[in-house]
Amino acid sequence: MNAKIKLHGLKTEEFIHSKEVKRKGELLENKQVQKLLKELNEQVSSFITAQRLGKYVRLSRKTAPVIYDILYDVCDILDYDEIPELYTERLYAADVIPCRAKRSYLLVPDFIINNFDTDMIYYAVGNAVTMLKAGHADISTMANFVPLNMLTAVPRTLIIHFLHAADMTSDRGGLLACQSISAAMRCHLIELGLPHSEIYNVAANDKKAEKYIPLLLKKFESLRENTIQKLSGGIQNFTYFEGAAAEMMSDLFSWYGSGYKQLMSKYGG
Amino acid sequence: MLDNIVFFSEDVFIDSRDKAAMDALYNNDASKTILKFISDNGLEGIYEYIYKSSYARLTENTSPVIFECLKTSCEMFALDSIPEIYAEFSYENTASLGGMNKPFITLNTEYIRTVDKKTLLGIIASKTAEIKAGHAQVRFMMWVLEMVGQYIPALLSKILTAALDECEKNMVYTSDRAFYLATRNYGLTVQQMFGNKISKEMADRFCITDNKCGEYCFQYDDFFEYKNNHSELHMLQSILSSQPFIPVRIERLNAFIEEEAI
Repeated sequence: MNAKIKLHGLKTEEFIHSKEVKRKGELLENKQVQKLLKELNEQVSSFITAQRLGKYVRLSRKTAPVIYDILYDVCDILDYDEIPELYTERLYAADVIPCRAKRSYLLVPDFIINNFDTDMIYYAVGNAVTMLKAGHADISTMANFVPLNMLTAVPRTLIIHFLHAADMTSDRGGLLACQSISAAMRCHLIELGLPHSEIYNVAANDKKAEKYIPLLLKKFESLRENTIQKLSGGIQNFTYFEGAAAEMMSDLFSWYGSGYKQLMSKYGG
Repeated sequence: MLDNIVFFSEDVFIDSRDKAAMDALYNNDASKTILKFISDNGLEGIYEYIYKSSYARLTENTSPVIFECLKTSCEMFALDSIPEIYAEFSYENTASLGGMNKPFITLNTEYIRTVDKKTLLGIIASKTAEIKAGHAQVRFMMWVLEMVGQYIPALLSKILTAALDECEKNMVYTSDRAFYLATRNYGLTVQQMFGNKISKEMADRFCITDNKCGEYCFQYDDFFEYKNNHSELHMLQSILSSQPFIPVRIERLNAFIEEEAI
């Protein structure tokens, strides 16, 4: 693991995805969405607090020193002042889940603690901290509680659409935190389903990842050639909370070759 | 470790809330109807086929340590016969009960792989005690309700599910007591409460010793401070999980230990 460059003074606007800017505007302008989010915020905060204190296990510097050190370092790298609390539970998931309901915390699945290498943890924590820094967590926390009915159909769709774009921004934040494209790609490859033992065969280091990922992405691109396939991609974008893993990977990889490098040279990399 | 086996009577290891809930359930007409429906329609056979055909049965030859724990537990809680025990391939760190009139225990592979002998004894003891307490019947009713719930009136299904969920929560207290009685290790008993959440290595860092929650104390205190100011917490617990919140389980265990000391 290389020493990370601290991006002191970093603003979300410097790496925000253009789609997020557009969709955030749509979200803020929609009164139905704003009303729904406000109401949910008031109603579910007890629910979230109960879950946090009663169901999850809080970690501390004493009980999880490695993760805590990484958290402090990530907050420093991304210039985020408010260090969130860390909780864990047994969960087979590859994302650190940020949550904000009156108070911010990160839920770190035990799968990450037990299986991710240090740079991958930087990526996963960086991704979640970016969601707090950029304000995504305020919306993603509430999104889980939006009921699916006729009245909420429009705001729900707008929220999902926004969260996909927000995820692309937070992926960029994750990359800025870990400063290793191979670590970022290893996390995405796990999400794509590649067994943990095999991710190092194709993305052990940046050089290897730079060679392998374009080949992999080319195969995914060929999946969206005809109208039906494009349509199904559109449906997925409007219905699933998570964007298609390959699409997210592709977007991040292309930003790595442009915006990421510019930002790193600006901050002294 | 397994020498000097102590026998525990039902009065000791069955939690009073659990006993009250079970008594209420078994004296209830709806439960009687469900149990009769299960017996009349041979549902236990269907269940056994579905589950046992997917699990590996463990024997004295394949798993001598597990069997030693099982035998010890059966003596501790005076079970008439030794139940069958199976392994299930799963990431979850759980053990469960199956069957109704002939209950069996299921251990998940991750559990078997990661825990030490003493913890294993505690886990198996807690399931054995549950069999003695009659929990298998309740769990079986839950399974049946899950299967047929959509075919009976929605309100009735919801009421029955809520009643059984409440029973399930109280069962956990008996299970915790049995774990403690079998291992006589407070730290291990509390650790297994969040055994589903964290690794053994990390659990050890919480430094939970006799009657002290170690690093977990801070969260424990925060929870009760919140609980005292939010009366809706009990209702939220019902919605959130089929298990009681961890701090509530610890509180109940502490009360039992104090009571036992007196």
